[in-house]
Amino acid sequence: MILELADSVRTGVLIIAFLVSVYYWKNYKNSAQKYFPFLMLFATIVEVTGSVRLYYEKETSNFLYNVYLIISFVFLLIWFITILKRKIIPKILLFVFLAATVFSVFTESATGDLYFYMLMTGSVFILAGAFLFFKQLIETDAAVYFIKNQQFWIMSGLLVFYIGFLPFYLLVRNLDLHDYRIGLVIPLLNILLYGCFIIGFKCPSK
Amino acid sequence: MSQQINLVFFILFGIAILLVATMIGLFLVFSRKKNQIIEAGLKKELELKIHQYEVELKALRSQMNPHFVHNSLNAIQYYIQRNEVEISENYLVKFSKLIRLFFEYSGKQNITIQQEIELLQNYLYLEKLRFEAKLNYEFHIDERLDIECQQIPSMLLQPIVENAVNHGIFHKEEEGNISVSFVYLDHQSFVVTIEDDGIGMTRSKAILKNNSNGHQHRSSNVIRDRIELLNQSKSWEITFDTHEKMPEQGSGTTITISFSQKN
Repeated sequence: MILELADSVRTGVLIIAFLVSVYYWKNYKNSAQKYFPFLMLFATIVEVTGSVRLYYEKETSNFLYNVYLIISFVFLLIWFITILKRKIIPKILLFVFLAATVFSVFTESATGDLYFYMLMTGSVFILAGAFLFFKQLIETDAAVYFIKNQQFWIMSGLLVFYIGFLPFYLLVRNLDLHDYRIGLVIPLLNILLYGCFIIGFKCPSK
Repeated sequence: MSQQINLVFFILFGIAILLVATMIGLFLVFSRKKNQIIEAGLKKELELKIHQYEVELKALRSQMNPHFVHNSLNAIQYYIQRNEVEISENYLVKFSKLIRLFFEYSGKQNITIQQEIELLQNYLYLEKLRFEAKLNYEFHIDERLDIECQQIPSMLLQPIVENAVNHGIFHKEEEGNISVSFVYLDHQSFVVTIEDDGIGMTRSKAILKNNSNGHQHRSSNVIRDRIELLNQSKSWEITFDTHEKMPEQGSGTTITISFSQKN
């Protein structure tokens, strides 16, 4: 019951984040974040489809989630290339991520579970990109207005999500746990992620 | 079973601590940086303010040119000795009024164009008493200018006019003319032109070199410093241009200053 409630809240916050991203799009249509509503729409479709399938067909949509994860990681790594001044590192991260994805596709089952190597490299690289972004931001005078910085909030959301997700996923994968409370972690992390996105979309782009 | 509950609790608690620590750490680092930047900005602003006061003080000193005070008092003495009481009295009244205006306006950032004109007229009137027929001056004020409301940085023009008198007209053998024009551009912008038909900058500099009097050089620097500071303050956008007439056009110097007040 509580898990279903957490999932519903997560989906609700995601839909709100998508609507906010569309509503405030005119404020950031000329910035590097202009394609984020498409990512939010895609995330909403995947999330709703996955929930519906789980509810009616009692099946997890791991293939769909794998496709979503690959696309969202590529999207975010390209976004890093756009916003970071030193382009070479995010370009290398993107290249290594694509290589890890190809490796996962050929060595792991697409429907069995989430692609492990793809997910691990993607998560670590998002954290690395967030670290580079915060380092870049703190070295400029723009750090004064970090509370109103759209990129800061999006990066904070990503940082919080993946810093929680990464150790959690590794622990749960290697331990045989049967406690419903474990299932609360991902929805709660998602709520934090999309919450930060909502704040970010409401900020001016510059 | 109990072990598994402990493990779940440990994982959930660990993740929660990690998230809270990340968020607090991130905000602490950025807040500290924000304070550092603000502090540095304030320090810079303070230094700029101190520099501004120094320049203003220098400007005041250069306006209160001891030569001018000395010459004026000499002229008053000259008229008293000749028993020309009315002229000397008139001279003294104008001189004291000018000194009062100097002190009053030097403490203000901006004054109205009318006040600036009044100051320049007072100054030129005194100089005319000293130079007599050798110095003529005229003012041209664009009717579209609202001189009672439109502002101008205080006493920026006086040292320029003083240079025109002392270095343009003073060394000229024939009579010299000074023309001061205020031309309207828009409701926040205008141009001031100070034109003299004196000996020109090149000859004046050559004479100054021989006399080793650095006042003109000093006051020119003060003017440029003040304009730079006013531009940095973002409340004014001022351009300063000096033009010396070509020999075939006669002699003389034209100084053009455009003022644009920012909101």
